[in-house]
Formats: sequence, C-alpha cells, structure tokens
Amino acid sequence: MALPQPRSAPEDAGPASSRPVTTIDGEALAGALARGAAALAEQADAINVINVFPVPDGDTGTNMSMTMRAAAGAAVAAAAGSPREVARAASDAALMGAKGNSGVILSQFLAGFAAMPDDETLDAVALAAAFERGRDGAYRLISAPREGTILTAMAEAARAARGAATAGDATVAALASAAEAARQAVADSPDLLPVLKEAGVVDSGAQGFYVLLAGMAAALHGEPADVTIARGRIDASWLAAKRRLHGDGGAGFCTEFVLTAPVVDREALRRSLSTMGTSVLVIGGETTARVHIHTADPAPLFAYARTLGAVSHEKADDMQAQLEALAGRSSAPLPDARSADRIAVVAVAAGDGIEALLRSLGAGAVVRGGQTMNPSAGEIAEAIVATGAARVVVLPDNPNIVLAARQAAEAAAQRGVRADVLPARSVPQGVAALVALNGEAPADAAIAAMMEAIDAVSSAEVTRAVRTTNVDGRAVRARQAIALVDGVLAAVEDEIGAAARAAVARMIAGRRDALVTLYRGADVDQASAEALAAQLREAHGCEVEVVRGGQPQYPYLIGVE
Amino acid sequence: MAVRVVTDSTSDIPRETVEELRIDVVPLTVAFGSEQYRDGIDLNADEFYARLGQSKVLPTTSQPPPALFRYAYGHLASRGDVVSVHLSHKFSGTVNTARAAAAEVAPERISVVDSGSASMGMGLCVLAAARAAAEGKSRDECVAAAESTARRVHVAVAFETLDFLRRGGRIGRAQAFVGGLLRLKPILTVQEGEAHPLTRVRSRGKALDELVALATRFERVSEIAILHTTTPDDAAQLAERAQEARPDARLMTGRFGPVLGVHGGPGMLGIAVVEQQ
Repeated sequence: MALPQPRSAPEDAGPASSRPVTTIDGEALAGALARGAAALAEQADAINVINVFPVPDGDTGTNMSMTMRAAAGAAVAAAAGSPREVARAASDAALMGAKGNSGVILSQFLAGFAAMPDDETLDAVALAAAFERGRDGAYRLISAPREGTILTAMAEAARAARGAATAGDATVAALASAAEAARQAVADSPDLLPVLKEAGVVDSGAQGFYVLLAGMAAALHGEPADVTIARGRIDASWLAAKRRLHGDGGAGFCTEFVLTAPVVDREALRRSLSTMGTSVLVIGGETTARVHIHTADPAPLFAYARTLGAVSHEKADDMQAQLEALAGRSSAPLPDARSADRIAVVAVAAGDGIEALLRSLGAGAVVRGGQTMNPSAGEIAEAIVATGAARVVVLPDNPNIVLAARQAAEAAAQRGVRADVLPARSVPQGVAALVALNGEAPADAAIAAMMEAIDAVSSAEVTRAVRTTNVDGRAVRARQAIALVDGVLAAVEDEIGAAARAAVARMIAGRRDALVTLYRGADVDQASAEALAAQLREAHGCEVEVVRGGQPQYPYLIGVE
Repeated sequence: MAVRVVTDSTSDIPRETVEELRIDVVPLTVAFGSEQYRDGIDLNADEFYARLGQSKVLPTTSQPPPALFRYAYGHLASRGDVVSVHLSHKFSGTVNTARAAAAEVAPERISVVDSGSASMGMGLCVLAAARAAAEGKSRDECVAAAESTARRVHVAVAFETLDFLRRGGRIGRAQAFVGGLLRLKPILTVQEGEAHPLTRVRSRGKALDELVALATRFERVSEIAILHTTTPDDAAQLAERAQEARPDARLMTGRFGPVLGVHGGPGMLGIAVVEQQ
C-alpha cells in the first residue's frame, strides 16, 4: 500500500483554481452541451416568433431545441469518454433527431465539430478547428448560402475561436469569444438580410446558435446561463399582430410610423386612422405610439399625424419607389408589385361593407359613389394616379358612373397612367371582376379574365319606389318594392323579400350550378337576409351567400352567376 | 445493377406503384404536438385525416433527419447508382439534406434532383426516373427523364382555404389570394418551385371546371394525376372528366399524404398533367 504523497509535491503545486484551465475533458463538454440545450429549450418560443427566413413557419426555436435535446442526451450518456467520443455521440444523435432546416444545419455543424482527434482533452486550438469543420459542414448543406443567417453566426464564431486560440487563450475563453461573435452576428443580421429588417427582427437561426453557445460558455464558467435576446428590439406581439393583418389581405401602401406627443390617445388615433385606411394597428404607451396602416395615399396620413405630434420612423421608401415608377424616372429595377406589367384596381361603390369587401379582394382604392352620389371624374382620376401603378383598371359598378370613369381615364392618361374602364355596371359585377383578378398574371390576361367574369354575372337591385310612377309600362305606387334586373324593371311587389325572390327567379332561369350573392343594405339585418337566403336555397337548390354591404337606399343588391 | 430511385414521402405516389418500381421513399416527419410520426410509415393518409378532424393541436411537419438519407444512400450506393428526386427547395430543406448526405456517402454514384414541385407534380418526375431505371437506362438518363418531366409537368390545386398554407409559411406568391370577405376557392399552381396564384372561384362547380381546364390546355397530355385530401367524390368526378377530355393519357388517382395535408388542409383537390414531348 502506497503511502500518502506529500500534498506539496512540486508537480501538483497548483490546484486547478490558481492556474487557468486550458483544456476541457469529455465530461465538461457534455455538461456544456447539456446547458446549451437547456438554454435553447428555454428560449425556443422567443426564437419561434422571430422566424421569418427562409420559410416563416415559426418553428426554428422548437426545431433547434429538439435537435439539441437529442444531441445533449447522447452526450451526457457518453460523458465518461473523450471529448471526441462525447461529440460523436452528440453528432450521431443530432443527425438522427434533427428537426427542420435549422435543426439539420445544426446537426451538420455538430458532425463537423465531432471529427476531432481522439485526445483526452480539448484545447483551444482543437476547439477552433472543430468550429471551422462545423462551419464548413453547415455551409456545404446550403446550395446558395445567404449571409445574415445561422451560417454567418457559425462563421463568425469559428473566426473568433481561431483568434482566441492563436492568442493562446484557454478553451473556456475561446468558447466565450465564439459566443460573443455569434451575438454580434445576430445583431448584424438585419443589415445583411433585408427581409429581417423589414420584419423588424434578427435572424432566428443565428439567435438560436448564439443561445446554444452562450449556454455552453456559461456552463464552462460555472455560471448560470444569462442569455439575453440580442438587441432587445424584438417585439413579438407587434410582429405577430402585423403578420395577422397582412395575412388578412389589404391593399395600397403598407405604411408605418412612430408618433411622439405629450399625450397620445391611442384609441382616438386608431378611430381617426380607420377612416384613412385599413389594417390599422396602434400600439405604444402614454407618449408614443407605433402605427401600422394600409392606405391608398400615405402623404395626407403623415400630414395628419404631424398635427398630433412628432412623427418618426416613417416607412416612406415604398411611396418613393412608386412615385418614381409613375414618373418613369427610376433607374433601379422595381419590385414586382410596381412593375409596369402589373395592374391596380380602382372601384366605385357605396356602403362600408361593400367597400371593405372590394378592398379585401384587391381593390387598391375605392371611391365612394353610387346611384345618387356620383363621384367627379377628378376624384376618380386622383384615385387612379394615387395607386402608383402604371396600369390601372377602373370598375364603375354603376351605369351612371361609366362616363365619369372614362373621363377620369383620359385625365390619368395625360399624367402617364394607362387606365381601362371595364364594363362593370353593378356591384356584383365589380366583385366578380375582382375575384377574377390575378395580380401575378400579365395585365392583358388579367383584364381578359375580369371581363369574362363581368359577363357571367346577372345583377339585380331591390328598392322601394320613391313616388307613384310608371316604369317600363308598369304602374308602380310610392313605397312599393321594386326589383330591376340588369337595369330593367322585373318585379313590383309590396314586400322587399317578394321582389327579391321574383328577381332571383328571373335571373336564375336556365343557369346550372348558380351562385347567388345577397348584399344586404344598411337597413337590413343579418337574420332577415339569412331568412331570404334560406328561401332561395329551398326554391332553387342553389348556393346563396349573404354579404353585409351596408349600402344606402337598396335593401338588397343581388348577383347571380 | 439497375439504377435505384429514391424520393421523399411528399411525392404522394401510390404504394403499389412504389413497390412495383422499387422506389425508396424517405419519410418526412409529421408531429401532433410532441407525438411524432414518420410520414407514410407510422401514419398513413387515412389515419392522418381522421386524426386531423379531431386533434386540438395543429400538426406540423419536418424534413427527414440526415441520418435517414445517409442510411438509404449507404445501403443503395453500395450496390449501384442512385437517382434521388425531391421536393422544391423553396418548400423544404429536404433536397439540401439529401445533397449533403449524397456528398458524404458516395458523390460519384448518387445524383440528387430538385423537382421544383411537390406532391404529384414531383411524383410524376420520380415515376419518369423510375421507369427509365426499370428500362435499364443509365443514371444520367434517369436524371434527364426526371428533369424533362419537371419541365413539362403542370399543376393546379384548388383549396378550401389558404389558412393552412399560410400558417405553415408556404404561401409564396399566393399571399395576394389570402383573405377576402367572400367564401373563395383559390386555385394555385407551382411555378419556379413555389406557390403561385392561378385564379380564384366562388363555387365547387367552377373549381372543378378550372381544374379540368388544365388537362385541355395542352394539345397532347401523356399523364394525369389527381389527388384530394378529403373529397373523394370530387376527385372521382374530376378524374372522369379529365380522362374524358384526354382519353390517351395515363391516369393516376390518389390521396395527398399527411405532409401535404398539413399544409393544404381539408378540401384540397389537385391535378397534375404532363405535356407530351
């Protein structure tokens, strides 16, 4: 039995704490991977919400976390082995358990990382080499690598690790440098990848990689992982709300600004903005508000905002590009939406429901007007020019407005905008034209499809006679319900419902698989309209859809196609 | 040794055809919350759609882990050449993972092809490669067969809603068709590897007309594939009308697999046609 060695033997002189740990063993590496995985698990949701590139499916955090969980579990099970054995176990498990794009990239990184010499410990030079192999493995996966992504974070981390190793740093310090470099890469990502800047986020995959390294570095330092979201600028609720709005459609300019004033009444601001556009979003505090709105014309909106306080962070780039496109001065290639071969639509209609419907279907602008409130040619011309498109389609949606629309088109032509007035003589025809609108198709093809759709629709207007008169040879008493089918008197009844039913019976004759759309007016409630719809389904076996039109004067506008 | 053809489970090729042509199908993963299934292995289309109707959590999908490609390639490339045809890289990282695995396992024996499409649009490319392989063609010839079909395949898919496509982040250029205050049936195609809007209609009858029109748009059509998620009657009607319009074309009918179901949702009905050379 050996005698106890004197504790002061020169070889053992320095306890670990008084001399820097220059290398790490398998157990330390496994512990670090486990801590990194835990940090990723904690941050997974925060990473998910900033996921916009390459596919905005909101699962980067979950995928990286699940991949690392598999890797860390295997690493811990192999912790008694060498660093290479630990890394190999982690890499094999990651290759098997990789989830999603980011998970696969991570697994390829780990596979490169694990191809290390089988030494008992891992020093900074070996760590740097492992990072470099990991980086190369990840880059090989992507055929056209984009910077500002997880790949950039990996490259920057590898570079920092190499720098630290060259400077003679210990493994722990080299890993800390790598984590710091990854953090910087995250912060820089919006400058490299425009889609990130647009969404107001940093890259989710890069962020996930940074979280992993920060967790690992903290474990080696024996500290709790203190992982903060880089830049602190990610506002998940804002992004999510905006995405929801964009998902629900909308047209015109996507406009944003920040309003600062001694007192900001957000509710009042939201109400007044709602009259100037759609998809209004106002968030903020007592003295600032961040605003998002889709509007046909941002200029008066900014002007209005300036009457309330200081306006900053205006998103005016889009407007500029459009103005240039209009004047034909732009030298830079324009984004698709503004290309000369795409069309914008200006519709004329009365009723808030119809207006909202037309916008939701892709009308760039809706000019208020109808039977008794005809908009001027000038108003329509302004709307045409304000779309910013070089080619515009006008849907008059009423026979009385066709002439004004043609005049407007001539006026617009003098200002360099080609406008075609389509023969949509009713709201149902205008709606059908918009349904057929394909903004991706070349202008001529898109217009042809809209014309065809207009032709396929028969329309009726149901109202009450304002005075006793004679229409098309038929006597009509004041307050009687009358229905006009394609402009011709088709029914005179005492009840609105009866007139509507008579009109539909006339329109539906000879049609197969007819679809009836009832636009209920401002004075008709949903229940009455649904009751009428049920009667029509019963009588004709057709599909009937009820839409809240909100139009004045006409209890029902009806389309049959 | 004949060339072996590999694809992924989003090719939606009927099982009998897969077996007949000895195609190897690498599964993507479908997850309901933390429960994971290998597409087509642990979960077939019928089970999936039954489950989709009842599940409170929305399922998600994930590309195959690299190990599955390494395993499949390692196994096949030790015996001969391999052609591997996959989902457009704009929909999924699957093809990149396949390429990386091929480079690691046997770059000189494996060709990886991005079909630029999905589901039957891609399945028809896979079949072209597999038939060429069955005829004893070389690896390059099999690749050429797949690529030639990829250039001649046309797809139209009618959706009940674009919510699923949007939620899954695969909406592509069809974003403009999202929303609207009417009940609309958007019809999309695949162009340059991503979803593109084709048209939108308001009734089931019109949707069928538009899908049939794809078959008649081309003078000569060699193949037609028709798939649905939850509407077998509509699919049967579409198949009948398409075959009537193009009696010489070979017709394949089937069901969109779970991965497509996750991203397209109930009521999705699609047609793919191959324009004859």
